[in-house]
Amino acid sequence: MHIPDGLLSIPVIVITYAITIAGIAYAVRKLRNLPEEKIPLLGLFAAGIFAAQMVNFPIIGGVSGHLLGATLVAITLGPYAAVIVMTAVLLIQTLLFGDGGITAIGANILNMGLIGAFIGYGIYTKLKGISETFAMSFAAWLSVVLGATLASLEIGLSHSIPFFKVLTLMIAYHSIIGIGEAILTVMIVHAVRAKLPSIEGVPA
Amino acid sequence: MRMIFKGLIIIAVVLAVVLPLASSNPDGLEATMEKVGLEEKPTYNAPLDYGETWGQSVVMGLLGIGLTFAVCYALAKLARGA
Repeated sequence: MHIPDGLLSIPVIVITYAITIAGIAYAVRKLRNLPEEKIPLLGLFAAGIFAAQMVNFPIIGGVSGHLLGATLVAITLGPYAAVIVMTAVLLIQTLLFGDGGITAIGANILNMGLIGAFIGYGIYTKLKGISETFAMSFAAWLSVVLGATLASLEIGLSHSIPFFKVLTLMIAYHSIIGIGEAILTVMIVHAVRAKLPSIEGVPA
Repeated sequence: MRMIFKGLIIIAVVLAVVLPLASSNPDGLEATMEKVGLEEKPTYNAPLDYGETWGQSVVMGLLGIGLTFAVCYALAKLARGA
């Protein structure tokens, strides 16, 4: 879901950069008291998300998708750490590997990072009283569908395109890709909690 | 730190094992762009790519894993100092 260069208009580029910079600045302020010994853990998760995003899984109709991971990281390390992790992943992908455009990096960090870190995490905390697994799955799924919706809006506001068609296709594909996100999120969070019980208690 | 190193090794091994299973089909956004005739206009050429063969992809994956770890570590360190 990396938006390439040439798809966003100047106003959309400016607005998405501004929102993303504000989101990162907020997360940075909240992490002022991040314990020194937790820092490598953020790096480890960023490395893991980078690797996971290299592996697209097929869905229907010759289309594929990959893990976003922001909700996964937010559930394990908290939303502010997730913002930093996703920013690092997207910077490397965009600047070194050509995933997504340099003009779209604000939009891409917003769609694939901030949404999952804040909204995905918010939904998870609201629902985890019902069932931990349900809360994780639904939050992860919704973060993908919301990210796709936002990407459609950003592209729709930039171009005279059949907006409704773009929105419908994006939501259709990503509601299936989101199932993969939900499954991977539940599996990985459970595996991490089993292997690293001490991970609990990272300040949110 | 040993735990982190172990984690990085696990990530690298899992990546190497599952890479051959990765789909090269267009992703949801690319498929949508094709259907409505939207095209990208590159304004920046990234210096690296993900490689074609399994071996190349594993090497690029290891490089990406290392670089992402380093950048995230640096960002978190900066955030802590900010």
